[in-house]
Formats: sequence, C-alpha cells, structure tokens
Amino acid sequence: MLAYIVRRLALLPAMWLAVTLMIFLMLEPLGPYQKLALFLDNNPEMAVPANKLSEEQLQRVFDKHGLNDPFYVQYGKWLSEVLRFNFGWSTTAQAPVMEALISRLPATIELTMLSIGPLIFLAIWMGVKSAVHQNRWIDHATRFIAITGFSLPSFVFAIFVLVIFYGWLDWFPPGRLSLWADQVVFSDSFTRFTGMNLVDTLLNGRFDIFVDAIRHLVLPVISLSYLSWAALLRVTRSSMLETLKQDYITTARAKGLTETSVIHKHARRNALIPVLTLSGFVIVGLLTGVFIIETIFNYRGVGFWAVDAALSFDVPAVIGITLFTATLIVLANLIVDIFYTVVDPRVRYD
Amino acid sequence: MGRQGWYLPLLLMLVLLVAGCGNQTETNQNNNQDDQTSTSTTETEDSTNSTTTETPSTDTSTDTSSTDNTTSETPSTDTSTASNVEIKNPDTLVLVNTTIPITSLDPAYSYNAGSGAMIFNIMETLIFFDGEHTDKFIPMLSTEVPTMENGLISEDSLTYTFPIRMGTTFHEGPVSDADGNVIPGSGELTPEDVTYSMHRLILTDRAGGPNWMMIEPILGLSSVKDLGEQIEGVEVEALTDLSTETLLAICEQVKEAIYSDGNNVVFKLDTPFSPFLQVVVGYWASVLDKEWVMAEILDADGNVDKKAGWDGSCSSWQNYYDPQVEDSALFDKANGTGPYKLERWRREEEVFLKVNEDYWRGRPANLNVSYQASSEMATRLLMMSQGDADIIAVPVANQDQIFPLVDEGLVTMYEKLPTGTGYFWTFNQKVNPNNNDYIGSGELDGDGVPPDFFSDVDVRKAFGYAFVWETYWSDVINGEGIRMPGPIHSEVFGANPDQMVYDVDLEKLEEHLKKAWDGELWEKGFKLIVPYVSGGQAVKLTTEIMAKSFETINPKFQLIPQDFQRSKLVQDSNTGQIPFDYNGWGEDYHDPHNWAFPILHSLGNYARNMNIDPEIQAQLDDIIIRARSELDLEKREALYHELQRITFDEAIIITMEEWTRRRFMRSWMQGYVHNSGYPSYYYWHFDKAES
Amino acid sequence: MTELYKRPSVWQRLKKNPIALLSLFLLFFFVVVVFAAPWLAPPERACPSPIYYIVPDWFFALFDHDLPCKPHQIPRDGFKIPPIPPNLDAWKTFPPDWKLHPLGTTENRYDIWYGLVWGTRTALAAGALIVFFSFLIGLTMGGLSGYFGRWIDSVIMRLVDFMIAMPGFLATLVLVSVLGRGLDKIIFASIVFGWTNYARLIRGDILSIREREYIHASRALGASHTRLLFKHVIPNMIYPALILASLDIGSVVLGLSALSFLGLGSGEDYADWGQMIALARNRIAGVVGGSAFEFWYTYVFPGAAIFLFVLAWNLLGDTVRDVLDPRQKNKKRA
Repeated sequence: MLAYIVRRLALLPAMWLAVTLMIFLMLEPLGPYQKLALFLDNNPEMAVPANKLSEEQLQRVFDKHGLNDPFYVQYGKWLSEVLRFNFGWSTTAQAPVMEALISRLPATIELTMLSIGPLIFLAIWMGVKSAVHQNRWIDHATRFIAITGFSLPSFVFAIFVLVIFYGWLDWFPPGRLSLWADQVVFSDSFTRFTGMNLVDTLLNGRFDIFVDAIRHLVLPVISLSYLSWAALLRVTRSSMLETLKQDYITTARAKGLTETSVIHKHARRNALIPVLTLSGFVIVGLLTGVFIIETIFNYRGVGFWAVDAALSFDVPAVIGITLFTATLIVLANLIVDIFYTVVDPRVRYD
Repeated sequence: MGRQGWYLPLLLMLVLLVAGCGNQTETNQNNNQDDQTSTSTTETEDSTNSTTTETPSTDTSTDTSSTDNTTSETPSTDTSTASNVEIKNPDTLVLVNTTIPITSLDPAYSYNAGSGAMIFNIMETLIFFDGEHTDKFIPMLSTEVPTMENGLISEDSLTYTFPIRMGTTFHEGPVSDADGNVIPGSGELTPEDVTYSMHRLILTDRAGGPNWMMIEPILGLSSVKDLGEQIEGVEVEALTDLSTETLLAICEQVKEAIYSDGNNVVFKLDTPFSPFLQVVVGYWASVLDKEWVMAEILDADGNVDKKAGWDGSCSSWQNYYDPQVEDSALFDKANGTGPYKLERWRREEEVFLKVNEDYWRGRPANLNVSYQASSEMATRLLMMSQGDADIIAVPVANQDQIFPLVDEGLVTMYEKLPTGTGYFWTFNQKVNPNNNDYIGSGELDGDGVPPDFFSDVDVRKAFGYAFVWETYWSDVINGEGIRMPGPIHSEVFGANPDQMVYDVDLEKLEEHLKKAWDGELWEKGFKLIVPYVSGGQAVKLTTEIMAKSFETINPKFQLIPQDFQRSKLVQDSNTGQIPFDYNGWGEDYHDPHNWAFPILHSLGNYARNMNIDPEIQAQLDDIIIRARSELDLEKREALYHELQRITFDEAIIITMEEWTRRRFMRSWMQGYVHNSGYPSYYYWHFDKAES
Repeated sequence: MTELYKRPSVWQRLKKNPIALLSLFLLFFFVVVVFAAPWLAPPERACPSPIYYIVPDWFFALFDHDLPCKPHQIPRDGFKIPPIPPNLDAWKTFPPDWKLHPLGTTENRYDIWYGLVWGTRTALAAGALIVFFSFLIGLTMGGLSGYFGRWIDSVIMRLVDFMIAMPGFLATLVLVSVLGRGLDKIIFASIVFGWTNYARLIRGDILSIREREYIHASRALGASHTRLLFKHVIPNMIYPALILASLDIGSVVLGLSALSFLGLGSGEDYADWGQMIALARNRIAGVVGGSAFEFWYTYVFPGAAIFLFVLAWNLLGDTVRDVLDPRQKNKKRA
C-alpha cells in the first residue's frame, strides 16, 4: 500500500512537466507579436495598444521577455525560474503568482469546506433513504429536487438567488464582507491569522463581523453545494438500488437480519464504491463550480482569479492555477483510491 | 436512521440559524444606519470636525458596529424601502468599477487612466487644471504658473522656471537613516525632489510607459537610447551595449536640462514646444520625495516593506532603466503631497484612500475613498440602488436599466461629459499580403480586394459616404458622443468645427464606386473582411451599417465583420495586414500635437501602418512639425486647419465619434467637477449631503 | 431470441412510467424542433441545399468551407441595445413570425424565438457528439485498464490521472483562451478531457466485478478474455456507466452553456442557449428601482430551454436505469 502511494506521488513531478509543456506547446503557434498580448495591460479599456509602442520599444519588449527565442529556450528559462519558486508575474492579480495564489486560497477553502460537508453527508444520507424507499413519496421528492438541481445551469441559479435574496430581500449580499466589516478586518487593530474570515473574526472576538461573513457565504455555499449535491445523490441512489438487488442482500434478509442492519451493514458499504469513484468527479465539480460561483458572487478566491486570468490571457497565472488544481486533484484521487481498499477489501493495489 | 442521520437535523438547524442571523443583523444594520444618519447630519454640517480620526480604533465603522447591540426595535421589512433615502457610509465614498485598472502606482511607470486615477489623488504635480478647464492652470507645488507675462517662460520659450512651494509635507513624513537620524530634506518638498522626479521620469524610459512625453520636449528625441546613440555616434541593439561613459553622459545631459536654482526648478527645452505645460500637468510628472524613494524601509518585523529606489546618481541609473512592473520600488507604494494617503491597495479587489488631514491647500478632503471592483452589472446596479455604492460604472449597453433610478431622483446623471478620446477608421493603402486573412483572393475579382485597394482615393471616399452617422449615434453609441471633426479632437485647440465630415450619401457613394479603379471595381465588386476583437460590438455594428449602404447599391460590394482574438489583431496590425481598421486614441495631454502626430505623422502610431501616398505624407509631416514649434496661436491654428482639410479631401481617415460619457452617482454626492484632463474622479471636490 | 423478447418488455415498462413518458415526450419535442427548425424559424437568406440546415456551420468551418448561408446566426433587429418584450401578435399564426419577436429579443436585439429554435440543434448536436465520443473512448480505456490490470492499467490510469488532474473546465478555458473562442474548440476540448470520468467509473466497476466469484469461476473453467469481457464483465458494469453517460448529455450541454456564458462560445450572434443567457446576464437585475423582473424573458426562455433539455435527459437516464435492471428481468423471467 505504501509503495503504491509513493509510486503515485512520484508521478506528480512528471505530471507537472507534462501540464506545463502542454500549455507551452499550445502557446507555441502564436508568434512573438501575439505573445506580446501577454505583457500588455489586461483591461482593454486602458490597454496600451501594441501600436502605441514604437518599433524600438517593441523590440525591447521582445528581447526582455525572450519572445523571439525558440520554444525550448523559453520553456527552459521559465522552468529554471519555477525551480526557484518563481512562477512569474500575474497581470490580473498584480502580484507574483505564488503570492496571489496564497492570498486567495483561504477564501476558496472557506467556501468549499463549508459546501463539501453538507454536500457529501446530505447526499449520501438522502440517496440511501431514497433508494430504500424506492417509489415512495420521499423518493419522488428527493429525486425531483435532485433532478431539478442537476438540470439548472449554475449561473442562472446563482443569479436568481442573488436577485431574490439581495435585490429583493436584501438578506445576503455578494462579496466577502460588507464595507464596514471590510474596513475593520483590514485595519491595524485586526489580526488576520488565516485569511479565512470565519476563523479570524472568532479569534479576534468580533462576532458582528462573523455574522456578516456568514451572510456573505450563505448564497455561494448553497449555490455551490446544491449543484454537485444533486449529482452525488442521484448516483448514491442508483448504486444503492443496484446493491439492494444483489443476491447477498436477499440472503442477508433471508437470514432474518433487521432491515436497518441489512442496509447499513451490508448494502451501503458496497453501494459507496461507485459513489467513491464519483467523489473525484465531485471534487472537480466543486472546483468548476467555484470558478462560476465565485465570479457571479464577486467572491474573490482562486476561482474568480482563474476565470479572470484565462479570459485576460494571463498565462503565468493560468499555469500556476492549473498546476495547483492539478496537484490538488491528484492528491484527492489518491485518497479516493485508498478509500476504495477500506470500503471494498477485494480491491487491492499491489 | 443511519450513522449520518444525525447530520441532517443539525444541518437544518444551522441553516435556520443562519437565516435567522441574517434577519437579525438586518435589523441591527438598519438601526445602525439610522444611527449613522442621525450623526451624519451633524457631521456633514461640520465636515472637517468629523474626519479628525488619528488612531485606527476610532474608525467610524468600528464605532457604529459596537453600538449594534443597544437597539433592535424596528422590524426589518420596513427599513429596506426606507434605506434608500439614508446616506450610507457618510464619511466614505464607495465607487464600484468593473475592475481595479491599476498597473502600477509608480508615476514614471504607469501609462493608463486607471493608474493615473489613483496617482493624481495621492501625488501632485507642479501645476494643476483649474476646475473644469483643460487649458487653464493653477499653481500646485509650484507657487506660480509660468507664462510669458510673468517672465517664467523665457523669450525664446526654451526655458521654463517653476518657483517651488517649499516645505510642503509628504504623507509618510521624514525618513531616518540606519542610525535613526532624520535625513535632511526628507518628508518635505525641496527643489531637489522635483528635479529628481523629472530625471527619474526621463531615465526610466519604459517601453510602453509615459516617459516619452517628457523625453520629446527635453531631449528632442523619442527615447533615452536615441540620446546614447547620438552621443556615441553608432546605432546599438540595446542600452546595455553603450559604454559606461556614454551612460554617464546621458544622465548628465538630462541633469543639465532640468536643474534646481535656489528655490526654483528650471526646465531647458530642446526646441520650442508649445504643449509643454500640458506635459507637466500630467500624473506622470508627479513629484516624489527623493529621500523616501531612495530609502529601503523596513516594517515592524524587520522585513523589507519598501525596496530602495534609484539614488539619483548618474552611475546607477541604468539599473532602473525600463523596469519590470514588480521591480519598481513604487509599484505598490505611494507617498505624495496630495489630498489622499494610500491606505491599502488590495490588488484587484479594493483601493482605500484615506483623507490627508494635513493637506496644504487648507481644506482636507471630506470623504475617504473605497474604490472597489465588481464585474457583474447586476451587482453594481443593486449596490447602487441599496446605497452601498455611491458611484458605479455603467456601460453604454446597460444605461437604460439605471434610468428609472435617475427618474426617481436617487441617482444623478451627468451627461455629455467630454473625454479626450476619439474614434476613427484608418485605411492601410498597401497591406502586407502574406498570410493575409482580410483581403480574400487578394485581387480585384469580386472575391477579395487587391493589397493596395485603398490607394485609390475614390474607394476611401466611398467608404466615407457609406457610413450612417445618425444610426450609429442613436443606436450603437446610445447618443454618447459627438462627431469628431477631423484628426484633432473638437475640444482641443486647432480643431476646425466647420470642417465637413463624411456622412451617408448614396449618390456620391455610387459615383465614387463607379470612378474607382477606372470602373473596374464597379463591375467586379469586392469582398473585404473587417476584423474586430471578440466582444467589440461597436466595430461590428459600424461595419454592418456600412455594409448595408454598400448592399443597397449592389450586393456585389461585400463588407464582412469577423471576430478575431485580440492577440491575433495585435500581431496583424503591427505587421500591417489590416486594410480597414477601427482605432481609438485617448489623448495623453490636451494639445493638437498629441492628436496630429500619432494619427498622421509618418512616425506616428497609426500613420506608420497606413502607407499614405509619399507626397501627401511629406506634406502632412511638414505641417505637423511646423505646428509643434509655432508659438503664434493664429498661425498654429491655421496649420492645423490645413491638416484637417487635407485629411478630409484625401479621405485619409474616416472620423467617428468623440466619446462623451455619462456618469452616474447617488444624488447625495455633491461637488462633482468634471475635467477631461483628469484621468478619473478628483475626490477632493466631493461631499455627501442630501440635495 | 432473448433480444426479441427484451425489446417489448422495456417499452412496456417505460410506457407505464409517467416520468419516462414525460422525458421521452420532451426529447421527442426537441428532436422535432431540430428537424423542423427551417420551418419554425426560416433564416433570412434561404439555403441552396438542405445540407446547410442539417449540419451545423461550425462543422463546415472545420474544413474552411465558405458558407452560402448561416442559419445558426441569429439575425439582429436594428442596432439598438435594450431588449424588446415578447409580442403576442406574432402568435396569431403558427409558426409565429420571428421577425415580430414572439418571445422578445435579448440584449442587442437578437430574436429569442429564432435563437431557441436553432439553439436546440446546436445543443443536441454538440451534446451527442461529445458524449458519444467520450463514452466510446472511456469505455475502451476503462475496460482495458480494469480488466487486464498490470501495466496496461498503470499506463492508462497514469494518462487518466494526467487528464483528470486538469479539470475539463479549466482545460477548456486554457485551450480556448489561447486558440481562440468557438464551439468547435470547446467540443474538441470537451471530448479530449471528458472521457476520463467514464474510464475511471468503468474501471472501478470492473475492478470490483472481476473479483466476484462467478468471474473467478468462469476463468477457472477456461473462458476466454473476449467471452469474459463481453458475456460477464461488460453487461454487469455497463448500466451505472450508461446512467452517467445519459446524465452527461444534459450536463455536457450545461457545461457548454457555462463556457458560452463566460464568453468562450461561438460569438454572441450564434444560436447557442448559453450564449443567449450571457446576453441576459446584465439584465438579470431588471430595472433597479422599477420591476426586478422587467427583462424576465431574456433569461427565463433560454434558461427554461436548457433546463428542460437537461431535465429530459436526466429523467430518462434515471428511469431507464430502473427499468433496464438486469436482475429484475431475470426475476420476472424466472
């Protein structure tokens, strides 16, 4: 088992290389003039058009960034910088990529952590419930909600709740904090320990800001978890149904075991195998959701930044974010694989 | 119930709790706002009193939130409608833009209105615009505005003298050296601070930076490298190829041109340059505290908070030449004499400017400024209607949504505000035919155009007569803009408002199409691709308007808008492939030279890629250079009128609109002053009060 | 023989299930719209050959084919910006005249009726294409990997890890921001990065199935790989995989619309539901100070179209799974 984990982790650097090579290869067909757009200001309203640069200045920009160099030289240069933990400068974040990533991460962690708990437990619990009571009202109700959730575009859902709960009712505003709370949090009298508002406000004893932070989190958390939750629930249900029809369940029932014992001891465990496969999918779904949800709720985390960077051709940031998410997903999938062996002892990795 | 079963009720409770909290805070917050307004009436009457907050803990927002717990009587539902009338955040101006468009806070680096918008509120220049006038100045860090009359501009108009307002204090105060002794001259304005700032502006010469504007009048060249080549007498690849002596000589020559003389600072120009005061008034010419820029400043933990900048010596300037944005010591630090101190810049999230209580002009600003970003139009609109935002960015396409708020009186709309931006179409009279995506077959066979399609003046005129200004003005730009009379913006000296411009005329269109290419065009027709950047609606629609005109004459004349990646267009415009291109120019300073040169001079940004007929180009170049140094205003005006006439007769460009903008702010915002020379809002004027 | 017996059985069961009927009806409706599009919303310029109606134009664009007509391009009504509300007069005839805007227009005056009708074709074609190819690749890869294990498994799963580690959404975002926007690029990226989920799911199932007693038993009895794969392994694991795939036509269309919404689609005049919602994006708050739902038609109609389309696929996937369960059939036969 340990050997398996080590083997998987050893593949990480290879993957980093592959991912970055791929992005560089994709950039390769662009000529130096097109790559120039990488170094122009990202806001079209304010950009210095390239033809505002004189011929001499253009050449200077080319030389400075090595835009005329062959592909492998550019990649090599970039790689040697990365080995020194310098991922370059993000024009959208106006900061070094690593620094920008670290400063945005707490916001996204806060959002996803709050979403993932209810998501997983609620989905599994309701999925099992629904399967056990197949074709009863609770099954229909659950499936209805799940299917609606799964069929509704996240951005439409998100903006709808924003209009209702902010525009109409003014309960839950967008952003991360209200202005007054923002001013306190970023003043000298407030220590930002983690960058996660909920934790920091409690540590600083500011319950009023804690409540404010919660108000800003409610809509993004609901929007984010609701959508993946539906998918997870559906798969739990169908896999549970599948399992309940297995012969060994019939045997267990025939043995005279109680229904609770059959479901929780025998059926659920096996039903969770396909669900586990899906949890990797759910993690990706959450990450994808984070991109859209953060953008719509103006919630400044990694996802917001990623969309901004990708749309503004901020390649250093895109590479940085991609590497980060890629690593995250590899680790998550590894954990999922390890869980397999726990849930289903027949699965071995040797 | 399963093992996870306990989780659901818990979760439900949590949801209810949060929803409950939401309601509760709602009540508190609104009461809170009640409190704020009750105090704000007294505050706004005596605005200077209320803003004397020295320590961070007496931040008003902290105060009000601590009074939260005292009252909670009014039901939450009633207040949501009432809240529209209360002034929220009485001592802070909240501006929500689509982005935070700052590249750098270094005045010698940044070259966009977004950075300038912050810099010119924090730092100051020698002179400044007088109210809404773009051609009248008031003294700022100079105690007088140089004129011929007061003798501060020499007879030959080559020497400008600025008496310095000695002792004006910088926000950050004096700087101490390693031993804790205050460095003399730090924290206070001295003539050396001014000369240092100007030398720095010239010598950093960033590619794509504002530096050329000062280089042109002072050195008479377009870059510092050119000066080096002039001294050394050879052409070099890069600045680093120059010898050490040359580098020293460059710096010394710059220092000889701008020097301090007692309490004065003297600028010596290379040739007479009539727009010089317009160059000095720009944010790039902001005055820095030399000792502060030089110093490395540590924070409380002993880490470097601010890097050391150039020490002003001629031996080290090349290390600061053409910097990367992050290498500048002033990238995210700002220290000026202006009405605002930079409290924090949270990159793309927020900029917070705090009132400088010791502002030398007597009255400190009334409101702190929180400049925020939200890309979502709906969010900005809602923030505006809730009163959480005082000013928001509203793109042309969405202005109809905010008009109801204007009608209700909640929002004030300022209309027809001039900006220094103009749009026009340029013709490339001889495109580069290699891999050209725009000219189709590359021949006059109805399935494309020849590379020199636009070298025929009749073709160019036909395009002018195909454009329907009325439709464009009312539909595409929503009435925001006035017709640009020629290459020079109508608000700028030298523009001839009576000059004819091209507008739809189907008869003339037909006539010119028949004449063009000796009638061959009329028989064969053409097909031309007009590129636009994905999302660039105005270009696409203008093309469609013109295309419709051509189509009414004959469907053989095809003008097709097509979207391309921005990076692709950057490339193709630089390699001269785009035959018919939509362009906009935002002026750097308010002078006809800043319009005529880039658009029509053979070295200018646009004409460079237009391949105008050499004879006409020579004529244009001559007029532009003569007009630059012409001091007699009447003669100068005549020259620019001539330029404008040629542009029309030869149909060198087709002018579109000068952008006039609408601005929207809550009606409690008082004192707005618009000046098209400002990069953005000058917050010092603003106040919040019920009208 | 069994094949002949199965088919009526499935249909009988589906017929009894109201949800299945509803979803089938919905899907039938969408298919009708796809084929009747030239009649429901005739393009401004008639196409010389029916092929241009049937094959989406981005497909021709792949071959640099010059198009004589572009039915997928929504015509724009004038150059004004604010949306026009639905016009009930247009409904006096059927099909309604889209030039009168039976469902109103979006921002920038693109007709919603026209966009929805032709957008159905975009959605169905793109969704089916993506799911078909990614499922095919996924089935092959996952099957090989799970069944044979050893080094085949290692190689394929490393490839999968690599692909999965790059979330499809982010990968598409990167690809499109570099290569340029367009539906064809999104579809390509979605297939390239989309098959991994199926591969993992199928492999996971096979891992579990191949350890079951009956597989061990058949292998001990000398069954060939092919026989084992097709007779035992695939029938046992294909159903969960099929659900996911059927779910995915819906979610693929969702994903496409999300990318269009972010501005990576085929341009704002292309008949694409996500694109239409992007055009409504700025209108979703209505007129502030007036009615919050002033521009309801700009997002409700395209939103409903996506919703119903995805819903139909999801409902179908759900019920088909319940009905097609092999063990249930066995029981019945027994």
